[in-house]
Amino acid sequence: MKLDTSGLESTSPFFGSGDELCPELSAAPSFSLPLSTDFDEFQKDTKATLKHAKGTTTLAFIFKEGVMVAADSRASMGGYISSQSVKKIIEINPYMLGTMAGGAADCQFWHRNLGIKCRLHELANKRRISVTGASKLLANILYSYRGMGLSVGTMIAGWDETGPGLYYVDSEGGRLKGTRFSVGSGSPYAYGVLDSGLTCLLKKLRSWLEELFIMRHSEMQPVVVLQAFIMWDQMDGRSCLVMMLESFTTIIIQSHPVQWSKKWLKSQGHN
Amino acid sequence: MSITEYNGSALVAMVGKNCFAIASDRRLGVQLQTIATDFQRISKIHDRLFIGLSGLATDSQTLYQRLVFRHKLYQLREERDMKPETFASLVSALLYEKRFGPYFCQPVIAGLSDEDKPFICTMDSIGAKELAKDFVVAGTAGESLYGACEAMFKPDMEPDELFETVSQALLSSVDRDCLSGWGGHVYIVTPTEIKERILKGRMD
Repeated sequence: MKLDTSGLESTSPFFGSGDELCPELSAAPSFSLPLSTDFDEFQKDTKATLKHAKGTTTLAFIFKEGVMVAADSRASMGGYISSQSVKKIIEINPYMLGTMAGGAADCQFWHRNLGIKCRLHELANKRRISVTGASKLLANILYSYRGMGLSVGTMIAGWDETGPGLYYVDSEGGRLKGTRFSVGSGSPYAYGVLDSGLTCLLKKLRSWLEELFIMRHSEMQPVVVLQAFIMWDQMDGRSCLVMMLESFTTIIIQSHPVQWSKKWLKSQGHN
Repeated sequence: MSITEYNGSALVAMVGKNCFAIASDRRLGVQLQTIATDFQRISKIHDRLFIGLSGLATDSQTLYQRLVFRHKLYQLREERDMKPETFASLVSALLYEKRFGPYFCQPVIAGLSDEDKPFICTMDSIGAKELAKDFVVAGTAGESLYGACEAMFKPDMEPDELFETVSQALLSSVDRDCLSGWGGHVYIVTPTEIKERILKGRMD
């Protein structure tokens, strides 16, 4: 059996062609497959032994000012909390973000892979890849590995020439365009709030902050340190606003101070 | 997931100088979903005797009702309150009655004797008593609590220091457990008074 590794291949070879000194480096990277007569059965067993990260809430939506991505930051093994400060929002590049639900390793690896591909696209075409294009790149790769046990549930959000973009992509090969999504075991709770609380004309930060606060109270598993990113209404990613909210304390802010949001936070008793 | 981990709980009792502390978390969940955040796991039997019941909430409540009933019968017949040791034996006997279909509870009992000597004890779901001189723990955060108590406990603490110690141990332990938390409930019992305090913790 042969594994299609086209998803891993870059558009140009890494070190020219025919590097005799180090053939592993010049060859396109690939995954070795287990020597097994029944691959499907083997894969099933492997899947059972690999416990994937569970208990996640990630959400993203498009609103008037831009596109907003939020995720919890807890990692648990069964009932045990192994970390309260995991980064589940992955910066693919300064103008595009991906979220992490499902297998942590799978998400991290394929987001990084996507980052490489986006940069190569940029260099080859002298313009940035669209969110549409990037998400399709990822979806096509994931589709080529379908049935091999990858576990990825992600949202690709960002800004391109057409404005804000948001796509849901999963390891089953699904790819959906939309204005609001939520992924992970906490997604039903997030959707509940999102669908009832989110009007299509979100004027201010206020509403999503409220949302996150309510969400934190409706499920115990997610939302420990909220990592919230706003891709602001500008094409350069430097105005990306990073917020971290912790139970009872609110830590703000790096770069790009937004006056009214600070004021609002203060009015809510967070300093 | 085991049925004793269905609702989630954290319980700890600690001994001080002529006093004791018993503390629990406040969460009631159904697996990972939080149902209530003001759940009572510790109950007063009389002024100087407390029991905390970790494990399956429905069994905890049933067992508590049976214990109160038996204690009241004892009060009527003997015209006095039960000694902590006696009460521990009663709990153990009630649990062993259900040897082959147990209550899915792990009790923690803490009391002061007539001579103001603190008594703490825990047992498994079928009534095997485990007496301790320093502290006892139970619940889904039990392992973390053992670590925290082992590091923080000092012998012969005064009530105020005991409160601080037991609270810190509880809060840091439940922060490592998905199934318990949402603040804590602490009782400090001295020969003269009962102090009850609600702790705020991470609300997630």
